[in-house]
Parts: sequence; structure tokens; C-alpha cells
Amino acid sequence: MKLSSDFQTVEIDGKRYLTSAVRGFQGQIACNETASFILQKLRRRTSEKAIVKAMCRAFDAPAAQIETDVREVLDSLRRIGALKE
Amino acid sequence: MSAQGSGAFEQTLRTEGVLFYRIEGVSMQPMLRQKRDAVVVRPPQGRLKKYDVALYRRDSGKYVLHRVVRVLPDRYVIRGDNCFSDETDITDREIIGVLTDFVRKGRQKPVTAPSYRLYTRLWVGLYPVRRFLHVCKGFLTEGLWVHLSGRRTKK
Repeated sequence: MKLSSDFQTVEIDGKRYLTSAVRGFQGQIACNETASFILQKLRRRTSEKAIVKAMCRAFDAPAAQIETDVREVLDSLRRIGALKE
Repeated sequence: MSAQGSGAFEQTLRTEGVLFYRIEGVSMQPMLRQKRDAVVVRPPQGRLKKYDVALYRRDSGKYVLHRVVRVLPDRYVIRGDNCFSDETDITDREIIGVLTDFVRKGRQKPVTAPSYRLYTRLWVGLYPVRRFLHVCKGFLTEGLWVHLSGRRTKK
């Protein structure tokens, strides 16, 4: 999976934002730390498993919690059509 | 480079302090390409300067992102990079924000980058030449059209 080319991200003052010109999608989304990390990874083709693995290395949190967080963020991105499977 | 809105941009700028959106329209080409590039706009800190790209709202409610080409004591002369006409009546009251970065092919480019500054000076400085070429092109196209459509006056 990869971030759809219809979507763009930017880092402003340490905070990541997501936007798109896709019909039906309005405005910008301010990302938390988890979403920001995942969006960084999604700039290149990757998998849910690889993202979880990378997050486990980068964050000091239980793997099960990380898996849940990653799934939640990916589901949100799917809902707005930001993921290219 | 425009969008229709009902205060949504102002609201976002107020709450977030920053506005990030994908642009629509071709008036800021070649710098900004429609539905491909995104821009970061922040509230203006004092008066704008020449070469700044201003986000403003026309009385019609339309949002426009164009470049300041001249600063006057009470207003600005503003023009899109791909436009050949000026807007001369934009005051600070209409200005909502100013461009600080843009994103192309996933890369974030600040307006303080030397390459961007060089581009703005050249593009604005070469306006008389670009306008002349535009007029010539229009004249040739119009002339050809008149010829092809048989609208020439026969003797």
C-alpha cells in the first residue's frame, strides 16, 4: 500500500498535515505522532506489517497497542480514499 | 488559483494558525500546478511585500492566491503568474494569508529558498517580455482564425 498521489502531506512546526484536492474531501487533517509516522512510511510502497515493525522499533509501546493504532489510522486513511492498495 | 468558500479558510487559519490545501486553477502556473501542488498559507505579519503570494477573498466570496507585484500605501497590485491583467484594488482588509511553503512531488519548498527567490525575480521582471509574446501569440492566432473561417473581407 501507498499514499494516493491525490493526497499531499507537509510538516509545519513539527506537526504533519494531510490534504487533497479530491472531490468530496475538504480541508486539512492535522496528524498526531502515530499518523505522522505512518504517513511518512506511506510515501513509499509498504505493508501494514512493515509499518507495525518500524513503529515497534521507533516507539516504546506494547506491540499489540501499536498494531491497533496502525490499523485505526490505516482504516481512517482508507475511508477518505487516501490509500492506494 | 481560486476556490469558492464561505469563510472556511479564515476559520482554519484562526484555529490552526496554518492552512494547507491543494490548489485549483491555472493562474499561478508554472509555479503551482492545478490539483498536483499544495500550498501552506499563514496569517500575514504586517503588510505584504513585493513578490509575496497573497491569499485573499474577493467580494464574490471567491478565494484567490496571486502574487503581489506592487505595494502601494493603501493597497496592492496583484497578478497571477500565468495572468496578463492586474488587480489593483486589493487592500489589507481582503488579505487572509500569505504563502510560506508549497509542496511539489512530495517535496516541501519554502518561499525563502534561493531558487524560489530567483524564480520570482525573473518571472516578475520578465513580465513585459512575456506580455509582448502573449499579445503576439494572440494576434497570430486571431489572424489565423480570421483567415481559416473566411471572415476576411473580399475585394
